[in-house]
Amino acid sequence: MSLVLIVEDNERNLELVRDILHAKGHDTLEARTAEEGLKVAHAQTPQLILMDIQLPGMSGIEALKALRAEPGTAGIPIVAITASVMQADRQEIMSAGFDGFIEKPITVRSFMDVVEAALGSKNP
Amino acid sequence: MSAPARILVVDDTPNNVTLLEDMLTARGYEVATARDGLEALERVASGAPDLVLLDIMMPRMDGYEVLEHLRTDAKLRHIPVIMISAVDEIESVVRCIGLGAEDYLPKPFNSALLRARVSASLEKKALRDEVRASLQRLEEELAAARQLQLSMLPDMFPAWSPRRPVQIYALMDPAREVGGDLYDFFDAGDGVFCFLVGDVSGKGAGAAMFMARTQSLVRMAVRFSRRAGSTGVSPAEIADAVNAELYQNNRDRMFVTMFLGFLDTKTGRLTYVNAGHLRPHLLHGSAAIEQIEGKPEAPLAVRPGFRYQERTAMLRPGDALFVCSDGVIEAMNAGEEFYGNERLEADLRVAGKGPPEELVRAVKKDVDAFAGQAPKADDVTILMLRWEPELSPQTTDLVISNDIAQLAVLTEAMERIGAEHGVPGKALVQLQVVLDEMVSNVIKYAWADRDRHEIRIRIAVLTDEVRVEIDDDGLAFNPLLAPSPERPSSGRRMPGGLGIHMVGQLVDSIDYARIDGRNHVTLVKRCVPVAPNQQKKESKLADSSLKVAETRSGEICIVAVSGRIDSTNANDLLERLIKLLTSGEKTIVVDMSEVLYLTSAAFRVLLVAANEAGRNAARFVLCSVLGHVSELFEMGGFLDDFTIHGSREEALAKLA
Repeated sequence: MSLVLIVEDNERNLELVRDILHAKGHDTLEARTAEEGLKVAHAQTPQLILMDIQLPGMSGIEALKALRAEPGTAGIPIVAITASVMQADRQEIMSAGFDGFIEKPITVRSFMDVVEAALGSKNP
Repeated sequence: MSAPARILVVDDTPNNVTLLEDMLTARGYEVATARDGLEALERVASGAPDLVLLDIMMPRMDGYEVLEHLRTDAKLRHIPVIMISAVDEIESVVRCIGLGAEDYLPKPFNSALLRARVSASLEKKALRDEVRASLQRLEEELAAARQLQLSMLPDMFPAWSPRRPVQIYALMDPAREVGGDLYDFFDAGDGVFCFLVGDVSGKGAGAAMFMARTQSLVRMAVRFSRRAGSTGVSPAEIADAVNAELYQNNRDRMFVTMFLGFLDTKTGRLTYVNAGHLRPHLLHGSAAIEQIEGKPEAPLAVRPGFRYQERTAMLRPGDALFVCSDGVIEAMNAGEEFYGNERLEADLRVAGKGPPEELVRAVKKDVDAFAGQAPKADDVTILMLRWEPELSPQTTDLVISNDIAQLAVLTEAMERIGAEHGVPGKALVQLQVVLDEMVSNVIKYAWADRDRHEIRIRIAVLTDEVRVEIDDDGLAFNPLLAPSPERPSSGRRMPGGLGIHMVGQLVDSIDYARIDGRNHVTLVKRCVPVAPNQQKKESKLADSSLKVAETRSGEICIVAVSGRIDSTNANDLLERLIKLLTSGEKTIVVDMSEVLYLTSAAFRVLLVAANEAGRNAARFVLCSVLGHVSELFEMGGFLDDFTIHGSREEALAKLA
């Protein structure tokens, strides 16, 4: 059972992700913007962050950099969620240092595989 | 008036004999005579005199030989002998006194001296006779006490029976005639078997009385505790009560150490109290030996109002308990070495698998051989109890690793066992749900690391129940203490603990014990297996894996699901449903008519799909939820979370 922070501005998508995580026995935290996500991450130190890339205001990639720069949050695995399937975007996302990559619309099996892998990778 | 003392006069000089006979007869003694040693012995043999006056130098057999003969005969050695001797025979007299003569009488005889020596000797003899008689009386009393004490301990060891599936043997060997050790065992009702070993401080008669008091108190406490409450007897309550009683009127401040155990012969659950006693050994069927958990607490009768702590151990079939008093461990040999725990454990390792009687006797023999001629310092008591529940041949042991995919192995094993032994279909399905819930819970939550761990599962099909035991070395988790899930009316949040909650409704009993860092859960499902040929011919055994097929009826997408939906495959179903919803389906009917069963993982998946449908303004309904599958919906409290139609036709008609 892990605590997962979902940073996502699309309400329907957020709820689906939240439902699936709950169905798998995980607890969730939610944020609609990157700025809010940073605050929640600092305050509650989740075990995993699912980060939408295209957010209003600060982008997911900027949020990643901010989280990595802070000692308190630098160790949290962060998985990118994006609707963009352009090879170049994908390249940029991966080279930014995310721990995984989930495409929208999500497929349940691969979504859970990426989440489980990311949770496992940073476990002590 | 007592009978006159009888005196035998032995001398080869007729004048001496006559003279002594006259003088003694005049004093009122009864006199017999003999002219030599041989004749003297004949006379003694035909009736022991109270005193012998014995000459030294005689034909055929002299006085020395007569003395030696008398002193080596246990029945005659107490007869006092006065030597008759000339003054110049003083060295011979000294030798005779060395041989056991009591006194001597010089020749020629002085009647005053004769009188004095004879009456002194007779008086001493009378005193000695009295002492001997009272000693004998004491010995007889002690022997009777010993008999009484030993008869208080049960020496009829019940044979194994299905109703009392234990083998037991015990012995107690007091260091003196009576001892302060005790053992006892008896049925405590409801299939619970009580047994104990105790050791009273000190030895001898006082300890024996305290022991008797203790034994009676325990028996009475158990009897009245059974009367008072309908729930099982608690060893801690018994110990508390006996302790309180023994503390009263105990001026000598005696105390007793005790191991008191109650074995539930139906489940193998052992509850016990250790009041200052040696920690018993637990012998596992596999010949592994360990001392039972728990530091000994205060002995009984030491601390008034002491509350004893009750401990629990879960025996596995074939496990045995070996309890002894410290007379075993502290037996000492001539070299002042102790027998010790290591030697005991070596014995247990050699003979631990055999019948209790053999093992108990073997240990006793080894302790005796070790101590050799060294005087016994302490009472020795040994008790061994083995739990041998009636194991049907329908017992299967499985070991899987902590990988969700392994659950399929378990589900299929349960399916096979059920078919082979005629477990009724509904009970079988429910057991499969139970296994899935319990074991997936272990896999998900028992270990903080991601290493490989083993989970042991035993499935036993008995005459009127199926018993499932699950054993893991993960974090302590007692399913009995799991909070019941709170289900918000919205159905949006998936509560934790749902699976355990369903299990609680699917089985007849759940038993949990934490033993040596392992979780041990026993689940019992009551059902009467039917002969396999009475089972309906069912083809589902061939393939009960999940299948999902989509068909269309106009705008309506019909998803026909068949097989079992459990934690190994719920994701597959969710994936299909989400894909349909995200691709824009607006009406989905899930036809459940071919579903064997759903576990909580499946319900969660259906809830996620229903929520997603709501967000997409799509309709999501179920149909043809039949029989026991419907019961599962009810147990999980899911009937209100879904729109459910009786049949596919009904659903299509409503949605059209």
